[in-house]
Amino acid sequence: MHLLIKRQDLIMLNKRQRNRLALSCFFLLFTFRICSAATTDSFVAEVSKTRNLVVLFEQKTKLVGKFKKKDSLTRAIEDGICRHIRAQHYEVLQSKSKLGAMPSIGEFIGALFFPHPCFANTLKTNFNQLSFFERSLILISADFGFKFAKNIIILANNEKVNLSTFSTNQDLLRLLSIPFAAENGMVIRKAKEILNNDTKQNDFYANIEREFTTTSTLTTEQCTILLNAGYIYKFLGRPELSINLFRRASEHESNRGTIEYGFMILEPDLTKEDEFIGRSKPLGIEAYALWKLAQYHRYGISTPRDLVRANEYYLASLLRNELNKFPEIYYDAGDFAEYFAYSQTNPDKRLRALKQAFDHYSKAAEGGIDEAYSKQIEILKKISDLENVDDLQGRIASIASHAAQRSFVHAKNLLKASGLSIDGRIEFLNLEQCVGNYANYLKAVLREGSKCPSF
Amino acid sequence: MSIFLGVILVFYQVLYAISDFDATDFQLSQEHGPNFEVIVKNVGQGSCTILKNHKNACYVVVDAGTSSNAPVELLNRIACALGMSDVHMDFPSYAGRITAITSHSDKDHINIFSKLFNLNTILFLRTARFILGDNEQSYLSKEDGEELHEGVLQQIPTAVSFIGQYRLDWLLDCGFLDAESLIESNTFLSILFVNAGIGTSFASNENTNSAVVRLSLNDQNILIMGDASAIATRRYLVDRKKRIPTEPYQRPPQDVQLSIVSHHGAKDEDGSNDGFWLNQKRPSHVAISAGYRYNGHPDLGLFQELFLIDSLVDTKDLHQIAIGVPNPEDYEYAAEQLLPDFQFIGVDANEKWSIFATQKSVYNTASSGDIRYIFKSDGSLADFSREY
Repeated sequence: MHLLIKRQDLIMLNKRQRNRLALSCFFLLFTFRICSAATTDSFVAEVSKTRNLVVLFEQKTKLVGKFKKKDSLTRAIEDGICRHIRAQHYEVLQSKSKLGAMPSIGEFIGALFFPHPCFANTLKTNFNQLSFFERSLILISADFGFKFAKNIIILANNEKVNLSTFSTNQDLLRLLSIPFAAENGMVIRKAKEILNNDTKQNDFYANIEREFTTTSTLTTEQCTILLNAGYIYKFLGRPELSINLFRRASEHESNRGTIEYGFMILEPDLTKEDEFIGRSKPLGIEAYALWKLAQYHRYGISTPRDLVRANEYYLASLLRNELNKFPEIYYDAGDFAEYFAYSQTNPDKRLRALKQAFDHYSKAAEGGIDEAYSKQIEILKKISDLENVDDLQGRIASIASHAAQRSFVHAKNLLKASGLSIDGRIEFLNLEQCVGNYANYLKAVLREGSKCPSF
Repeated sequence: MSIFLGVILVFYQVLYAISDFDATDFQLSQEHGPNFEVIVKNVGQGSCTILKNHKNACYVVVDAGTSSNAPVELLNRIACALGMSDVHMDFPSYAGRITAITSHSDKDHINIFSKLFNLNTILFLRTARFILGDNEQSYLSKEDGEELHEGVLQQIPTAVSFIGQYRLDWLLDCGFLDAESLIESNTFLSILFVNAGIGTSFASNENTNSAVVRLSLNDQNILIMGDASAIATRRYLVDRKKRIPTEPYQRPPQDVQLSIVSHHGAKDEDGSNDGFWLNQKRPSHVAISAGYRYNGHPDLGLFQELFLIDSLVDTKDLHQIAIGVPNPEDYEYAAEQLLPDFQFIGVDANEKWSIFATQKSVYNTASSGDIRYIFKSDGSLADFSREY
């Protein structure tokens, strides 16, 4: 295909030929766009992949130095920021769409950092259940002044929560649009205060119903309101309304809504598991739902305790956990195998169960469950009590160094366990201070890296 | 097709699940599994012990407070230990019932509750009982007590019990023990004694009013001592001697598997960790919740007594423990006194503590992080781990 076509040649072409050329050009540009997107991943996407907090914070410092002092967002600044963090144009549009007409520059940068997909359809119920990395991204966004992230941080840390001006249903709706709001005691108290009798509770519920049942698709914000309202009605002792709200969220393909609705129908009647699985399957969370059923049987909730059945559900759940989408299942399967191991008096059986627990914890760690690293080490030591493990210290150090590159809390302890020099005296810190410390530890690990042989 | 599925299933069974064990193996777990977990959380200088029943995912949390040196992400770590993280499980957010107990009203035993509950509101729904040792007035007269009152107790008013009077052998029927465990008469959860200062001149002494929690598993006891003083332990011992037990839970604890010793291992003016008490109870395992604050937490005197009593079991785990030796002129004396069970390693970076190495089953959260004991239903120790 000739890339250079003269204007005269174009004029000479007939309509059919021109259409063909336009189509070819479109495909060429399309292919080029895909290739370029694939080869130059945006900064945030790249950092998300590597979860390297040090790089993230270095970038943040640079951005603050270069742009934050300016206050109005111009196209030139926009382009400058995008070049700086290698953001794509669609990401810019995405960030701008989260903001008002005239966003401040800080808000704009914050929105670029904000890990929106975390909340779009999360299975987490609490801010603290998010990974350390995700929480750091939210912290950075809030730090730049992105209001949405700021609100999440304020509620999650219970800092400066002043809800005295909130008094109407509309105020409450605004509050409930913040992810995880119902996990904050002040919000619950405020909701109890505003919805202090049955009539008000029914009216508020009707309001939500009216607003959301007519819409065919829900925004993330609206879905968040449904979920938070579902939790609020539980606190108000109105489970009959909660279940409807969760069902609605589930009908709008909310993962958490589906799980919560499932819990509510399973609690009185575990035989409704088919409905639970049926709703979960099309959303791609069947493995998660099966895992929950495993736990019902394991702990004897709504059913007599039955470890054989629990094991069957764990097995089914792991089978469907494609690409380790839910590493928490591996963590819990590891915990189950560990529990099982301690009850076995036969050393061979105990050893076999411990090895299975180790494998499960390894997969959980690979999938991003930081706590699984310490579990791996714990199990490895127990295995070494039963059979010879080659280079036990080396393997422990290797696990610790992997952990240190990902997680702060566990890395600190693991590094100490593997004999790397770490100051054990750490005061109670907020997340931002933790991140700072984490960065220092990570540097220490990278410095000491050569001491940590890999497998 | 069925052959293909069969091959896949076998492959995954071998790889992923533990189903290459048969039903009898699971029966073994079901009956004699490592069902009870005791976690002494590292909260810095303070106290927080969590009991978990693996049979029904129910918990007891005894105290939650810190005054310094708390580790990072403390609230999150305690929440996780109570099953609040996705990783551990998420449906028991509703089903895993919690009994919260505060031994007494001191800040370092209560000030985490309010933050913990208000940042994990599901805990309000999960809390079946909230039992408070010590005077109600003592709580209300302190900032942290008031915060607890406002932020937690008022939100779950029907679950709250101030004990208000001196009680001993109070059986707690709070759903922690599952139906199977309750059949065993020598398996129970109780408050051994509480408010021992009431009716004496020590009525306003918080430590003397401290509740002591007892978990008996097949007559093997776990004692969580709070900050109980010698006045409290002696009052209980004398009273118990005069009464004839009619129920198993009224029998004084004889076989003490684990004691989370009183007042962060102190030997203070109120006589915490009274030698007479320790000599009677003779714990096989000792855990201390302390965090490098206040002289003598834990105190050398406690270790001298543990050495004399000689009840601690030996472990394979050679570990370090920080013992309070505040005066430099005592370094040598301390090192000599505790030999051969405790080998002096050196003085800590903070010179008020010395580091010793030991294989005895005594752990301090300051040196060992979270300490976790797992007991089988028959009361035997199935597993132990420490964080670092």
